[in-house]
Amino acid sequence: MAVIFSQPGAGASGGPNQTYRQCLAQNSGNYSFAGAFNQNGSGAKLAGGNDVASLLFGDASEGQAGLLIAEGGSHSLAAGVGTAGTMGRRTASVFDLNLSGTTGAAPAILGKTGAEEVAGVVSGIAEFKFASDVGATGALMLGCITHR
Amino acid sequence: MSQSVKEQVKSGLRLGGGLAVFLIAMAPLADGFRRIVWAAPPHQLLWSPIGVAELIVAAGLLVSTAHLWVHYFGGCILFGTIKGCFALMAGTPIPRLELAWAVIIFSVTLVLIVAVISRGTPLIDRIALTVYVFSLGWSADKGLFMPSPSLAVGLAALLASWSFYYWRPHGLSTEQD
Repeated sequence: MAVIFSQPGAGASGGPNQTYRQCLAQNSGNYSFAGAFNQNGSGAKLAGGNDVASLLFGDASEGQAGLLIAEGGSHSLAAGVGTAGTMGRRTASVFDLNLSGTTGAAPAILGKTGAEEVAGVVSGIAEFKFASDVGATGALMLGCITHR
Repeated sequence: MSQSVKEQVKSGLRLGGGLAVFLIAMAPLADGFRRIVWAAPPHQLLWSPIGVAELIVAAGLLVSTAHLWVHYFGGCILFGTIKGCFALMAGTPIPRLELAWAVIIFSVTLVLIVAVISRGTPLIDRIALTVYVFSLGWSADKGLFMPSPSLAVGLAALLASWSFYYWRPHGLSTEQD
């Protein structure tokens, strides 16, 4: 391991004269799992990159896909399993024609396959990764303040 | 402060602590591998008592906190899988074959890790996860998640733990029948 927790601006081309924005952009990749352990391979960047910092200050295309999953994907997964969806519905004009009695087979089937549990796990781990990226981005912003 | 908020704070601190231990464990792990594996000529190992001690410390930390850091690790793998699929479709400077390998490795690992989390991360799973992290570290000097024999060992460990828990209930139910 060559570098652990690279300091903002260390080895930077702009040096101490760089602006706050430049410091953020230059070090957005350092404050992540891949950056902390100086891993520059494609696999390390895909899995261990900081998507929040990349989207805000660095390469937006790198962070966008990850954040889509963290925010939209996890919510869709958690909400979508076993939930009926409607499109273009005006709820004010919808009247209730539901039949009383027990629900159909879908909840039981979903319970057997464990889809809801898997969705919960997937959304949970996505949120944890997102939260850790937010924390690392906060550290990056603080680090660049002290660097100036 | 209501009880639920207290519980949330405690849970957050617990998960954060687990992630911190995971990152701290990376230091002795990386230095141990540097002394024993990375500095050695190909297909050879160097004997280093300090390196061995560092790897033992790292293994102890990783096994004891695996139920916490597995969530972060699984998140990384999930993001890697999705971002890899996006990159495969959109095209990047990274060769497609390399990306495809990474996506395959991420996907298999993700399925196994989701199964581990669903089971509540018992001891055998913790050991398998630690073996997987060690297998990643073994060839980390050449790049993480690159196809290598060590990575195959890590995946085999996860698969073995999955098989153990998958077949065990079936065996019990057969005996009961």
